Parts: sequence; structure tokens; C-alpha cells
Amino acid sequence: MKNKLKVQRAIKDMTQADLAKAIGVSRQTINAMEKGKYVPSTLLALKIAWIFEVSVEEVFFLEDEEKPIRPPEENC
Amino acid sequence: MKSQMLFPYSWKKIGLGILIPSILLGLFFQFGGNEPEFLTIQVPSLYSEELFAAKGVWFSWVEDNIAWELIMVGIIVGGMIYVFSKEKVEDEFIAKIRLDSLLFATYVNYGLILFAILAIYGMPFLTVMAYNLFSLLIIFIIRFRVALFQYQSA
Repeated sequence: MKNKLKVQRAIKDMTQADLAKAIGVSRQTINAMEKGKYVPSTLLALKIAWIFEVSVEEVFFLEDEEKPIRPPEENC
Repeated sequence: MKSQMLFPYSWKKIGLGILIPSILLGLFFQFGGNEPEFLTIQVPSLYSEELFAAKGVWFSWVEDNIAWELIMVGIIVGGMIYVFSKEKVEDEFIAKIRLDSLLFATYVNYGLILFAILAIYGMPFLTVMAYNLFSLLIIFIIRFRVALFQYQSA
């Protein structure tokens, strides 16, 4: 999973510490997510998107090889 | 998420305040310091055995210097409080790091025990086992602090 945390932070002009404080986590957590070392919980991802005022997919998204194959649609 | 069995953050300093003096005193006695006389007292014992005695005694009072007892209790209690108290900001990533560090410490600790079993014989093995009472805790503390420090620097 990739993320645009850094970009979104720049848009909002927030430091790692600002973002950490806003969503109530440690600076290590923001740092680890930006480095791609930690995949946050859904709750945390939603909180981050809420702060940036965007949808979750604009911050976190799947890489192509991570996308599972969709099952074929059944004909009714 | 809130149901973690951890001590409050404010206890961290208390834990460290017990752990550090206990380790220093332990090292002092280990390397030749004399156990203070006033700590030799009568203590209740569940089971005890004199050196070379034929058999042990259940439920009795024995005379013992409790310096080592105090140190061992200090290291374990102080260490547990220190490492199992919350961080200043406690979150899901910190919890993951803590769990990973505990797993790491367990692997390393049992690795060291396996090595000691196969490589160290006689009395020194007992010394290794004595250190082993605390090694899991100490390895865990070091690994956890290092991991937190690594992620702190951007």
C-alpha cells in the first residue's frame, strides 16, 4: 500500500508533529507510515483523511500488484 | 483498543527509579561487594534446604541475608513497571512495536538459553540461569527503546 501523506501534509502545511497531535498518535507512527513501514488501521486512515478533508483513497491506495482479481460478474 | 493491560505513563519513572538502583546494587554484590549485615534476618520459608542436608524442611523460619532477594524483586518489579507502562502517546503503532519487541526478545532469550545448555557446563551454567531471570526483560527493554528511537528521527 502506498500513501501520499507527505504530499497531503504539504498541502495543509502541517509538520509530522502537527498531524500526530491532530489525530492523537505518536510522531513515530506518522514517520513509520510515511516511510511505508506501517499500514494504519481503518480508523486511523479515516481520521487522517478527515483532517486533510479528502477521501481515504486520496491518501492511501493499493499498488497495482496488490490489487486482487475481481470475480467475474454473474449473469442473472 | 483501550483494554491494554498497561500501567499509567506516570509510573514509568517509578519503574526506572527501582530498576536502575537494583541493577547497580546487583552488579556491586556480584563483583565482590559485601552483603550488609543488617539485612540478615529471619524470614518465613515455604520450603528450604540446608547445603548438604539430607532433606528439606517445609513451612519454617530461616535465617537469610535478603540483599539478593531485594535486588531480584527490584529488577523484576522495576523492569516490569518500566516496560509495561504506557508511552507518553500510546497508539496502535506503539502497541505493535511493543509486541514485536517482545517476540524478538523471546527468540533471542531462548536462543541464548539453547546456546548455554549446549556450550556451558557445571557451576557457570547456574550463573547463566541466574542472569536468565532478567535477560528477557532487559533484551525487551533495549529492543523496544531502539525501535522507538529509530522511528523518531525523520
